[in-house]
Amino acid sequence: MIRFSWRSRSLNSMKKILIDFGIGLIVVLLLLGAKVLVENSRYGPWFNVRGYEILHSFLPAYDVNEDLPVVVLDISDLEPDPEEKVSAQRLQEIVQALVESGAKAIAIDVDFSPRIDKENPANTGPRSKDDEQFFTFLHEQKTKGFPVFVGTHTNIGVEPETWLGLDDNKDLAADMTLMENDTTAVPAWLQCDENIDNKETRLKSISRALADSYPTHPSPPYLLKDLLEAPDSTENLRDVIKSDSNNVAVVCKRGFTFVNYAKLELIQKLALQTLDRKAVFAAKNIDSYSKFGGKLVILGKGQRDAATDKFNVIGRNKSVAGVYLHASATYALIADPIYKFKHSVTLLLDLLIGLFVIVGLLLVRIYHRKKKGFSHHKWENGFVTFSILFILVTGFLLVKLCNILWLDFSLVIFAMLLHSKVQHGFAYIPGKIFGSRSPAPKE
Amino acid sequence: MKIGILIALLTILLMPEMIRAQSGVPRAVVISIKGKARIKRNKSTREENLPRGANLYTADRIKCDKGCTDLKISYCNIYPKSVARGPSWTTILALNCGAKPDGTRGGAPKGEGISIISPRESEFIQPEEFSLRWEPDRSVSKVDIEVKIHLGEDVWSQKGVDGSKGSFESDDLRAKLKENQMNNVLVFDVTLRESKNNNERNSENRKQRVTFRLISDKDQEDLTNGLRFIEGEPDGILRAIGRGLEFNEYQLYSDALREIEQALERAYDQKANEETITAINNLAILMNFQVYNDARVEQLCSSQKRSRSFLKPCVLIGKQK
Repeated sequence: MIRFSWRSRSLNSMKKILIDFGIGLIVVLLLLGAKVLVENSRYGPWFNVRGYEILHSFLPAYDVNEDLPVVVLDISDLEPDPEEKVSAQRLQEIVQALVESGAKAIAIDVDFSPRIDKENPANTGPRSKDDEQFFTFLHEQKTKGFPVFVGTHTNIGVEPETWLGLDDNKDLAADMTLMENDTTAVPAWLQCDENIDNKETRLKSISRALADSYPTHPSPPYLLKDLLEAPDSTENLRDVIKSDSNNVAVVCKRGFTFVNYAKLELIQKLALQTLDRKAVFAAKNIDSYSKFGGKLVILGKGQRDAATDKFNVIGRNKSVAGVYLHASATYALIADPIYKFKHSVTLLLDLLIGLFVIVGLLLVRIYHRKKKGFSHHKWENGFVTFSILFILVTGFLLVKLCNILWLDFSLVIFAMLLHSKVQHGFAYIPGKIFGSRSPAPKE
Repeated sequence: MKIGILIALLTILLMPEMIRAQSGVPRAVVISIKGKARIKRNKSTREENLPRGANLYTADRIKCDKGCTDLKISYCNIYPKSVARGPSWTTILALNCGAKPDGTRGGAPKGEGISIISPRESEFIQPEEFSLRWEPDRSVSKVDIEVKIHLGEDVWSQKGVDGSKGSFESDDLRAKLKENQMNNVLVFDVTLRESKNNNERNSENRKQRVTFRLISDKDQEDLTNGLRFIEGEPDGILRAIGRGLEFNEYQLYSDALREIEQALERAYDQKANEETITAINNLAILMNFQVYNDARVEQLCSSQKRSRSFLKPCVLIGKQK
């Protein structure tokens, strides 16, 4: 039996080059598989969030010429009603003034859903006794064509009548739910009907409801549109369990909005505290126009210790009140959206980069196979370095030019760094098969 | 023929109830009436007498006015509620008996759950100094404590901790945090939850989560070196201030506050001059403001002998008052 001796053959023989290419291909596929495994593991979100944090820092934070279309009206210091709740009467006064000041739409980040008070059942029922009258007032504004929404959260069930207690009020409801464990995306809508497009049963979030009241909605870059994940696409939906009137659990679907936090600090700085009619009218810019004119206004508690919902936004040390998350999401939807690639596209990109390294190396080795002193390891390192630089530059340019976040780029770089190590490890196998005792051929 | 007429008659009489049965389940039920209460079904303007045991549906309106002394209804068949007497109608709302909200609520009134005092949200701490403090509540006899890596796995947990004490320390937990600090894992969530067997019915609402951060291993080393350098200072007040400022540099505000308060106490004990006391007082105001200790800020701002301090925290807290 003739044994093939690894060492006896030329290190750059065609056969060896092809074997190395095969190993490289297997390694690329294995690393791709490992990347998918990591993505789907509990560490996946961590990598994504880190990628988001790094790429997000490239987004421009402040532009002197930009007039933010979203304003937060901080109601932390609004005098409460006798039940120590946010006063519906005072809110009505502010909303009336905002409407007259030319605001485009208003959302109130306060949970107006009715509630069950287990401690004190006598309090079970509406949030406040003035809410019914307030809703009547808001309906009058809606009838006049002015979009206004109030928050709902605690009582949300399968039937739209649970949002604000009555079916008649469902058109006022906006979901104020936010997720503590991941603020890179915020809810866009909730749908408990089997027909996911049923508008009657779709509960929009505060940000989506406001954004839909705004005339402009930027589109993703035309050429890349098909490669980007649509927020409402099936792969982007999450299951949420809600109970129906029979107390039966129903699986609902929730869509999300990818949030652009670049203007978070600016929105916080420009928040206003105009808490009565006079103050709302007095808030004017240097051209004597109302600061609320043409703006989407979110009323909510934005001060430290006043807000009950505070979140860790990546890249920020201080916790952020929920109202600013809604404002940032609204801003993203109407002015400066950010996008991410479809999962299939990121996999294809990963594969292409891996193939670039091994096919490039294959061609170079074939071209130089008769050249003495040729080191394919140097070329391999060169290809890997070039690929990493390409990933970094592309990741940066995608954010800067197209607002696209290539979230798993950190994992891809990690995989590229591992590539040559894993490939050398795999060189053991042909060495063993063909009789070599050394782990990998040295040149 | 007579049977046909009877069926038609019954159909007409029962139609509203049949429609209702198809449109959903009752949201509440009348459990007691003294006198005569009235009801308007859904959007109907027709008033009817309200019988005991009647099912109440969303948008039904009821009232307990003339001839009615007491009307009690029950939502979800669990929570009895008296309907206010008077001429105004009470609307039955669609309360979700099995409501389990996901995510986090926003902007609504405060006061739910257990209130964690320390660590504060986003606070930096040293693993060796970690202690959990919350507002003690006699109604909470046992609590469960869980610590997990932010967006990651569980690190440590303990069930059945005495909830009325209001504080908890564990060397085991500190060791786990230290271990993670060495591995550069620095952001954690601590959850304090009322033990389920304590009060099964209410346990879901009684919990609070706070995200805190550890300083990095490298910062910890630099801090230790910095503190060692300051230990050589013979003056107790200056030493405490130095330590406080050193902690402050690494955003360890609680530790910094402890030192500055100590310096202030020493200054008073040693009857230091007014200028020194004012300077340390101002530092203490800033440190207390950093840890959201508004009551103490107010106290320190008011204690300025000459006039109320014009430091930003004093102005801010003053406005708040």
